[in-house]
Amino acid sequence: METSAIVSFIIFGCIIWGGFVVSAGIAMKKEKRKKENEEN
Amino acid sequence: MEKKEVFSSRWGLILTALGMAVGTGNIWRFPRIIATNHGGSFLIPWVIFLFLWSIPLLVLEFAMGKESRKGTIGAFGTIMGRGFGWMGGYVGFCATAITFYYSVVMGWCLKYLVASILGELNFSDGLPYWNHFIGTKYQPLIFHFFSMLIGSYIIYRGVVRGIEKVNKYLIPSLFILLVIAAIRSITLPGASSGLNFMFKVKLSDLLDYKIWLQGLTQSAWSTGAGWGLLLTYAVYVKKKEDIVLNSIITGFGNNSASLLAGISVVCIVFALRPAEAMDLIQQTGPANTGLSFIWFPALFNQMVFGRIFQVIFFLALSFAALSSLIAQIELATRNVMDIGLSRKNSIMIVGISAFIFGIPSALYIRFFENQDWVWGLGLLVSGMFIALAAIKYGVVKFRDNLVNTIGNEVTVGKWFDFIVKFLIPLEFLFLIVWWFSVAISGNPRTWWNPFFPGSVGTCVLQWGLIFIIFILLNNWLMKRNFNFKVE
Repeated sequence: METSAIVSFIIFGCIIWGGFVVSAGIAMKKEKRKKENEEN
Repeated sequence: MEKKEVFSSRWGLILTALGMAVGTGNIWRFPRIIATNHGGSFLIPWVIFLFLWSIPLLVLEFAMGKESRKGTIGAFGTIMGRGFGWMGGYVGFCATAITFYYSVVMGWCLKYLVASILGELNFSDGLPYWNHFIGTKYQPLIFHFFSMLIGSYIIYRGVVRGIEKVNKYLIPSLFILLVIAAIRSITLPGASSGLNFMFKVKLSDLLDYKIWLQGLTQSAWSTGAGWGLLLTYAVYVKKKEDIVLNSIITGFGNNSASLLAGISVVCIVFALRPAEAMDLIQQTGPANTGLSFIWFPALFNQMVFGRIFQVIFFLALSFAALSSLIAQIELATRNVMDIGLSRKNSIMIVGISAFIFGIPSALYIRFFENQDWVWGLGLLVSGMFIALAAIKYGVVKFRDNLVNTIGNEVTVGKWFDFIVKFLIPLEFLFLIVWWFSVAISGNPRTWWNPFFPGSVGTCVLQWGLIFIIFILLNNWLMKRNFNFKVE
């Protein structure tokens, strides 16, 4: 695989898959906190 | 008065929204569009328009559904005023018209899934098998019937026990299947040339205006933004549900699935048929089925354990189709429920009508192509209507009152107003002018003819008829939706 394609793969991977994982992670964390607050 | 169900958990809602967004287009259209639009360079406009079209429209839809607690017709009546319910009628009908033939597409996926399990797809040329399947007429019809039956049953079960429960299994399974397919494809000898093609960016390619218009089109069709589907699901969200973050997850999740599917398809084709890879990926075939139903089954036969991956591919395609189909059926069902019918009666009406109106598409590919052209393009009008609803309400007021609400972890700023007020209308204008000019230049003698499948005339005629019908029905629909007398 060519270097420029590897760099581009990393960039697009970070934006798209990274964006998905991070945004879903934030939602998961907030949801967990909300549940803990409700239990307390 | 109907007591509305509410999604039991946030994850249920997110997976359901992802199910709505991820459809067959992620798997069969995205790789073809990459191949016909400069490979890796296409990814730049595709990502940009995720932020400038898809996510803002998803946010608008989410806010409209959550505020109005009604389907598309009632939502437009609530946000824009009682005189504008017909616009919601158009948005709802457009997605429903797509349901008629999308169920046929799901039928094709089911047929090929069954055939791959039974080992029937052991050929080197897929065209005769496809032609035989479509030529039998009764087979596409039977599989269309089963698709509508499965979809309608899920909707009949309700939001929590039907839609949410099914998506909780379908979407994680779909992502697992896509990851397995992507890993297998990139480990094939020669797959690196596919990855080079898919990720190599040439900045000079960005000077081609078509790459931008195709990036915008793919973003508009693939994420489900502007269809009214997320608006419908938002009817069932909790009062403090996050609008912005959920919309962002939906947009990114949809594109994540596209990227995985793109890697799988492109790498398999480049690895197994390096000499003719570009020709194969770019082939549209009848009703754009070229790669998925004609070439892919044959390509899998060249792979070690190919039959297993054949089943995985058609299972993923069927899951993607089903999760989107149920969103479309729910949209139509919600609108019928809003005029006062029970869920049971509404789904009976929607299920039977969708089966009947899908029959011409199941029997005649030319009819299918006409409907795909008219209502695919009609979705851009739907997206524009949703932006217009926010503009009529007042974009700043819309953002303050309906988007940045209690429960949001992420809020939107003034930039959002600019996108909704100026960019989305401008993008719509460019897209519609471009697609019409493509139709005119492709058919200079018949572009005006309303009975020619891919003409401008057929769009104007069919959209016009739907506008007239819903404008005439507007008062009655508003009366039924809001249970009050319209002056």
